[in-house]
Amino acid sequence: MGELDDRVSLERPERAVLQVRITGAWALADGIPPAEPVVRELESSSGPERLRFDAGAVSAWDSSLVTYVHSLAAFAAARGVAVDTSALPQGARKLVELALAVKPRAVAESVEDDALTARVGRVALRAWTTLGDALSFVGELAMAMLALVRGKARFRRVDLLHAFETSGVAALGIVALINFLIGAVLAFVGAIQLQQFGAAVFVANLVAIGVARELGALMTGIVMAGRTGASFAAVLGTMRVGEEVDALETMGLRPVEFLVLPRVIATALMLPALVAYADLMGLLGGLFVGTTLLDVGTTEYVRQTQSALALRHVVIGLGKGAAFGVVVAATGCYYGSRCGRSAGAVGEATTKAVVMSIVLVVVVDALFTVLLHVVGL
Amino acid sequence: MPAARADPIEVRELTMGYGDRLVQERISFGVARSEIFVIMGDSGCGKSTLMRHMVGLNRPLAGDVLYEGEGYWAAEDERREQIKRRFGVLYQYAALFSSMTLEENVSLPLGEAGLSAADARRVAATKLALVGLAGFEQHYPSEVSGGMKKRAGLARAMALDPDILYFDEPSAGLDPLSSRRLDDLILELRDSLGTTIVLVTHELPSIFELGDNAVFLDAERKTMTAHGKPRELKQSPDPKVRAFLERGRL
Repeated sequence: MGELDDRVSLERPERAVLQVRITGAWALADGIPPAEPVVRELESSSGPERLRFDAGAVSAWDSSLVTYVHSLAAFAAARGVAVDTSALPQGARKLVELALAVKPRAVAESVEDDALTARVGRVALRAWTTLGDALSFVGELAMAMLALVRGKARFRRVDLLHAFETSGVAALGIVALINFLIGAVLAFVGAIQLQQFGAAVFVANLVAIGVARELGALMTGIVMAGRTGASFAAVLGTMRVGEEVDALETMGLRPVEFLVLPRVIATALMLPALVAYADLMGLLGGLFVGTTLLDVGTTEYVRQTQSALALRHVVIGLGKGAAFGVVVAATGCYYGSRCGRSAGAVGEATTKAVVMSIVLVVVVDALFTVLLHVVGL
Repeated sequence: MPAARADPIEVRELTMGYGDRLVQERISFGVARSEIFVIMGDSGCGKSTLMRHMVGLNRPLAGDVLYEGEGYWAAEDERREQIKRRFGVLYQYAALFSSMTLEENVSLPLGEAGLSAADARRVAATKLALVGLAGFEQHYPSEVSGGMKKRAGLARAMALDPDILYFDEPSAGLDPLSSRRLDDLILELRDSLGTTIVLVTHELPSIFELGDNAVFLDAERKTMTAHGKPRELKQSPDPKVRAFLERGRL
């Protein structure tokens, strides 16, 4: 037998006994000797029946000694080898005994099949469950709406007013900035093309229809997904972590009515208003570029805009806004209310809510475009 | 150099508050080596606030906390970081990192102290076994009970063999058996490692069973009104201290 580390050596004083002689000063900073040599010895065919630790010559010790002895003793005990720790320093011996006192709980390892088909199957099953869950959420929301129409929905009016503020007034600044810039960019890009045909004034038509019918609503929807949808998911997620949602349920209040409904109503009503504001800002952005860079007179630009901007374009934009409002608020609330129980889960729920809201806003926008084309608007 | 025989902890004329609101003033006491010291008082008296000042989370309005004779708040930032390594803290709700397994939670301070990943894992396994959590290394905090979280928090607090362990309401939210087990564990640690222990609690059984010495903080008078051995404080001249230790039976 020989030395393994300058602090540990193995001996076989008797055939049935493996003695680990431990010397020197032990400190965590110096590391812990490897367990393998002793493990090999315990596993060998001439394996001992008894593992004895002799630490008579240890000058100082800390957790590194306890860890070393405990890891070997636990391994030996699991193999039915008797462990003798009587020659350890008293404090260390007590700690090792304490660590060995509770038998390690056998944790059933979940065996996941790693084959491609199994993984595809798992993803499909999960998607199916999520779809069912989302549908039941939509159903609950519909029932809550019905209760609202009947005047039986229970939520606090102040929550509704607060939701009006967070999903409306508070978003004015960012919506104004984004849509002004979008209007300006649209005018600029369009002008480069139209100037080639001497039709620069038609930039007003492009901006008016583009912003009112499409971009005002779409950009506002996306901004609201990142702003309001994320905030709803985070608030509801945190409430779930803090068992506030459970408290509502035990009080007999339906979380969908109490928490989700006011947010969905507020966002669905405020988003068209924001879209109208966004349209105005987009038109101003176009006007700014048209009059400063393209030499179109202000009066001429405004008249051209008036002639191009049919009421239906504006109404379609506002209608989209209302639909996006429902989608953004419901998605944010859905992921918030399905949040896990930890702090990390709130972040995860928020991310999912934003990504899914943006995807759904674009999908709903595409559906609108196809349907309106079919009915000839 | 501080005198070698200075108390591991001395609180000197400590005054604490948040903004304009005074919490406690002129608190002074010493904690001897390997002693279990209890900070007690009724709810809202500033027990946990005092602990937060002792572990360097809140800056006192006046006074200082001395570790081995060296003022914590008088020290430079870098020196404070070194002093902090001497103590471990078990928070009221364990404060485990929810995105890490129990083993990763315990390994974190070990890795930061320079241990190799393999050594850190071995020490973490032993620390978790010490608190009765062998086999739960790969569990996340959300997958274990409140008592187990507390014990895992203790394993993390003592990962680096601190000289001093702080416990904030160790029994809060635990059933009597788990609470008793934790008390036993605290005694074992003190006896085996000679750790100095500061306990913030209002649990009478723990106070009498564990406490070598104690201070009582009065929420109304905003200062400490008693200091001594818990059993002797039952005869304190202050009726409020007596009422507290007798659960209102006088």
